[in-house]
Amino acid sequence: MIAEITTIVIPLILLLGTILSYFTRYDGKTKASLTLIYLIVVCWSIYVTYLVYTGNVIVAFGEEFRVDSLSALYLILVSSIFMMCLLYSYDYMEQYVENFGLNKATLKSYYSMLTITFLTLYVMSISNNAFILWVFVEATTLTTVLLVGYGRSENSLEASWKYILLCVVGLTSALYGTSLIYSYIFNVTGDPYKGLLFTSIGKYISSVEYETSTFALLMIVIGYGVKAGIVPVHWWLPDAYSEAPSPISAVLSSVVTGCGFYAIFRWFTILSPPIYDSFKPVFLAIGIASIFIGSLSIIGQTDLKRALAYSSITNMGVIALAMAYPPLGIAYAIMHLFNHSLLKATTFLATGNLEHVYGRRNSLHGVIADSPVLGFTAIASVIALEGSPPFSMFYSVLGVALAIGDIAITLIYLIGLFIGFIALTYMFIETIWGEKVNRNMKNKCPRLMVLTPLLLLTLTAILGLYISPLANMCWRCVPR
Amino acid sequence: MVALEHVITPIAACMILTAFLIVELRRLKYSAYSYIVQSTLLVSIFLSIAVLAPEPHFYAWSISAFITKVVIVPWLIIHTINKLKAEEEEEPMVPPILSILIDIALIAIGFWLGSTLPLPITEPGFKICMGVSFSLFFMGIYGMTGRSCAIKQTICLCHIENGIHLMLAVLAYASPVTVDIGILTDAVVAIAIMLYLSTLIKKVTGSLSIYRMSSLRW
Repeated sequence: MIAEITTIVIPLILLLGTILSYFTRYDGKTKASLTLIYLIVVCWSIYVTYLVYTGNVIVAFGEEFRVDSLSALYLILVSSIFMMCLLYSYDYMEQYVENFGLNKATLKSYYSMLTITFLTLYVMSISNNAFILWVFVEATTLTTVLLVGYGRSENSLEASWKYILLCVVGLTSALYGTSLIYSYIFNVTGDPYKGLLFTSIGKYISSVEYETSTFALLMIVIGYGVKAGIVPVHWWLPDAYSEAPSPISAVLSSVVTGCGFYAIFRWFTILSPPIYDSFKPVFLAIGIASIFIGSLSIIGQTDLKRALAYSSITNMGVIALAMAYPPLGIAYAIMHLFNHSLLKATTFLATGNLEHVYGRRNSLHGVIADSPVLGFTAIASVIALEGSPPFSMFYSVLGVALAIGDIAITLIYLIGLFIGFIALTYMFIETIWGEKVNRNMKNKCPRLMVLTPLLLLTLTAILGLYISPLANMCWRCVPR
Repeated sequence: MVALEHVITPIAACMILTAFLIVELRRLKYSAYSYIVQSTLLVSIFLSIAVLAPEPHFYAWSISAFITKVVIVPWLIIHTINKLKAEEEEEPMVPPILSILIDIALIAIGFWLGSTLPLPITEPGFKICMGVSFSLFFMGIYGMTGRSCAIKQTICLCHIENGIHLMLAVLAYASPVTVDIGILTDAVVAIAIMLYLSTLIKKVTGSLSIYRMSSLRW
C-alpha cells in the first residue's frame, strides 16, 4: 500500500495540481488547493523518509521504483524546497508580472510549470531505472527552461537558450553512456532488465570491458556534470540563476542543479573499486577547477544573484572533490549537496526579498537601516552558506576536509573556499551595512516572503544542532 | 538472403552525407529537408534489421521513429521557418573550408571510435552503424556550438538524436518500449520548446542569431 501511494497516488496528485493550476482561474481557491497538494506531498515525503530511516526500503513495479536512503534524502529536500518556493511565489510573482508588464493570467502557466517540475523531480528521486532517471533529469530542464525565460526580456531569453542548449547537449552524452552500459550488460546476460536497474547494474558492470565502461561513465559524468554546473561546462549557470525569478533561482540552484549530482551519485555508488579508482583524478581536477573558478569569479561581481550563482559552482566543486575520496568523501558529498541545496534556496529567497523591496539586485547599501529583519536574514543565510556553525553546512565543509586526508589537497581546498567566503561575505556586508546613499524602498516585503527564508534557515540550524540523523542517512547511501 | 551489412553500409554512408548537408547548408529549409532524408534513412535501417536480422522489435522502432522524426519534428521545424520567414542562417563563426575539414575530422574520429571501442557486437554492418552514430553525435555537437542561428542549432540537436537513436537501435534494441517512448517524447518536447524559444528570441531581438545576444557574458 505504501509503495502504491508513493509511486502512483502522489505523482497523480502532483499531476492533478499541474492541470488544476493551468485550467482553473488564478484566484484564492487555486492557491489554497495548490498549497494543500504540496502539503500532502511534504507530509508523505516526511513519512517515507521516516520509514527508510527506520530501516525499510520501499520497492514497486519489480524494482523499477525504489526508495532507499539517497532517494529519501532527495525526496524530502525536493518537497521542502518546493513547498517554501510555492508560498514565496504567491506575493513575489504578483509583483514580478507587474514589473515585466506581463498579464496576471500568465501566472497560471507559472504555477503549472512549477508543479510539473516538482513532479519530474519527485519521480526522478524514486526511480531505480537508469533510463527513467535520465528521462526525468532531462524533463527537469524542459520544465524549468520556460520559467527561466518567464520575464520575456532579452537577457532572460538568452539565459534560457544557453541553459537548454548546454543541458540538452550534455544530457544526450549521458544517454549515450547509459545506453552503452545497458547494451553491454544485455548482451552479456541476455536479460533486457538487468542493465536497466541500478540494483542489478552494480552486479554486472564488471562484465563490461574496462575501456567501454570508462568511456561510458566519462560520458555520464560530463552529461550529468553539465546539469550540475561543474567547470568546464558551467557557462549556463550564472545567467540562468540571475535572470530567473527568485523562487525559480532557488529551485534551480538547489534541487534542479543537484539532480545532476544525484544521478552521478546513483551511478558511482554502485561501482566497484577498480572502475571507481580510475575516476578519482577526474573528480579531483573538476573539483579543484570548480572551487577556484567559482570563488574567483565572485570577486568584482555587483549582481547579488550572479555572485550566488558563482558560489554554487564553488560548492559543486566541493562535492566533486569529495567524490575523489570514497567512501567517507561520498557520504560528505551527499551531505554537502543536501546542505547546500537548503541554504542556497534560503539565500536566493532572502536576496529575492531585497530585489522585491528595492526593485534591483545590485548597488544596494545599508539594507539593515531600512529593514533589520531582511538584512539579518540575508547576511545570516550567506554566513550559514559559507559553512559557519551552528548551521548544518559546517559539518559537510569540515567533513570534506577530513575525508581528503592529503595535506596539500586539503590546503588547496581550504584556500579556494576561503577566497569565495571573503568575496561573498564582503559583498553582502556592503549590501547590509554599507553606507546608504539614498533611501529608495519601492515595495514592502509581505510577511510570507519574510517567513519562508527564515523557516529554511531555522531548519538548517536545527539540523546543525542535531546532525546525527542526517549524517546517518548520508553514511547509509555509501556502499561498503 | 541478402547479407544485412550489404544493405546497411550504403544507407549508413548516405546518412553521413546528409549529416554533412545538415551542418553545412546555410539555407534553413534545405537543412531541414536533409534532416527528413536522414530520418527516412534511419527508419530504413530499422526496417532492414527487422526484415533481414530478423528482429521483430525493430518494426515498433521503425514506426515510432517515422512518426516522430519524419513527420512531427520536421513539420515543427518547417512551420517555424515559414512563420519567422527565416531563409538563411547568419554568417557562421567558422569559415566554410575549415568547417568542412572539421566535419571530416569528426567523421574520422567517429569511425575510429566505432571500430576500436570494445562493443558487444560482431556483425560488421552493426560496427559501421556505431561509427555512423558516433560521427552524427560529434558533428551535431559541432553544429550546435559552431553555428549562431537558433533554428540551425535546433536542427543539429535533432541530428544528434538520430545518432543516439541509431546507437540505441543497434545496441539496446531489446529495451522495454516504455524507454523508447520516454526518450522520443523527451526529444520531441525539447525540439518544440527550442523552436518556441527561437520564436520568442526573434520577436524580442529581431534576429535568430545567438551571438548577437551577448549582454550576459561575464
